[in-house]
Amino acid sequence: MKIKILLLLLVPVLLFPDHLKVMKVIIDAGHGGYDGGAVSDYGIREKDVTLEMALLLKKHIEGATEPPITAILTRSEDKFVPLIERVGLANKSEGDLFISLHMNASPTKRDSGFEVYFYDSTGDAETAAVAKRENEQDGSVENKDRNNPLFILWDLAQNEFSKESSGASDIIQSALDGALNRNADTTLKLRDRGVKQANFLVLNGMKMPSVLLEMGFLTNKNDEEKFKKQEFKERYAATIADAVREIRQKFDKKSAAGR
Amino acid sequence: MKPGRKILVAAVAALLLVSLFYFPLRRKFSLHEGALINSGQSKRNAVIFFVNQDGKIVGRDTEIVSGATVLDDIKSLITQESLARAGGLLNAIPVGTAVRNVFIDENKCVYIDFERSIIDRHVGGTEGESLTLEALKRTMAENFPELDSMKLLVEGKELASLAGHISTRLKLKVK
Ligand SMILES: [Zn+2]
Repeated sequence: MKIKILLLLLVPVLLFPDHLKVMKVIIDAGHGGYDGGAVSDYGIREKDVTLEMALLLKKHIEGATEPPITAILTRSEDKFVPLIERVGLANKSEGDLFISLHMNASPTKRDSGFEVYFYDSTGDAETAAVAKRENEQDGSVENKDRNNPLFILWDLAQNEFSKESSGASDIIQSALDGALNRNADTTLKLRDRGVKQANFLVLNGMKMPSVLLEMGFLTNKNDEEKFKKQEFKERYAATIADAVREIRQKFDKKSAAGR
Repeated sequence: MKPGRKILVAAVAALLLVSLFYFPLRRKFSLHEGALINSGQSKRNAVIFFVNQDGKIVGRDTEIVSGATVLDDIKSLITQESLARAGGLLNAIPVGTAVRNVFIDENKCVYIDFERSIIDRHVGGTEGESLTLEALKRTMAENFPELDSMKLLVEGKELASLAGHISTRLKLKVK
C-alpha cells in the first residue's frame, strides 16, 4: 500500500521534470511603514528605494522569460511588515529563491557600492554551539538536543541552503560587477564590495536559497545621486533579473544532474 | 533542657545544615563577583574603538579611572565611544548612546543594556550595524579578555537587531 502511494507521489515528478517548473522568486523590499530604514542627507528613505527597486525587479523578472518566472513581493506598498512575516510568506509560497533588497548606510560618507550577502550564524555563541553539537551527532532527529530553544534550530534552517545561497550571491555579484562596477559610463558605475556573510534576521528560518543585496549607500552622495535616476534603476533591476535567470539555469542543471 | 532551648538548638542545627549546602553554591558566585571588583580607585589603560574615514574600525588608547567594578569600567568605555571625536574619527557607537546597566552571567557573557538612543540614533544599513557590533566586540575582547560573549539589550529587553538587519537575539561571540 505504502509503495503504491509513493509511486503515485512520483507521477508528477516524472511527468513534469524540474527544468520545466515555474520558478518562484520572492522579492523582499526592505523596511516599510514606520520603519523607514536608512535616510540620506537629502531625505531619501531606504524604504522608498527598496520598494521602487522591488517593483522594477518584478517587472524585469516576469517579462519575456520562458518558462516563466513568478515574482512574489513581501510588500507592494509602504507598510510595515515584520521580518518574521516575510519569512513566513516566503516559506508558505514555497519560493525557489529569496532576494531581500536594502540600501546601505555607514558613519563615513566615503563608503560606497553594492554588496551581496548570504546567511551565516557562526558569530552567534549559542547558534554556533548548537550547530557544533548537531554536526558532531549523526543528525537524526532522536539525537538532536531537544532542550535547545526552537529559534536556534530555526536559525539553522537556512544553513541547509548555504551552498545554493552562496552560488546565487556569486552570480548576482558577478552580474552587477559587469554591468555597474566595470562600466566605463560614470553614470552607471557603482563599486563592487563583493560577497559577504552575516546573520540576517530576515534570512533566519528561510527554507530556500536566499540572498540580501545592499544595493548602494544612501550615506554616499554619488551612490545616492544614481538612485535618483530612472535609467540607472532600470539597468540595475534588469541586471538582477538577468542574474536570476542564470541562477535558474544553474539550479536546473544541478537538479537534472541529481536525477 | 528547657523546651525553648531545644527549639533554639534545633534551629541552629538546621541553619548549619542548610548553610553546608548553600555556601558552596554561594561561594561559586561570590568568587565570580569577587573577580569583577576593582581593587581601589586606580587608573587603567584601555582601548576604545571608532571608525576612520575609510570605514575601518580603529582603536585608540585611553585611560580611565576604574570604578568600583569591572561593570563600571565597561559602561565608562562605551560612554567614551559614544562621544563625538575630533581628528577625523567617526563613531561606530551612535553619538549620545547611553548605557543603562551592565551585568555578567556565570557563562562569562556580558549583558549591555542600552537606552533606546542606540537604535533611535543609529545610521542603519548592514554596514552601519556591522561596525557598531564590531566596535563593541573588540572593546570587550581587548579590555576584558575574560569575557566570552556579549548580549545586547534595550531598556531591559532583548534586542532583535540594531536597525533591522543583523540578528542580536542571541549571545554574540566576542573572541
Ligand atoms: Zn536595510
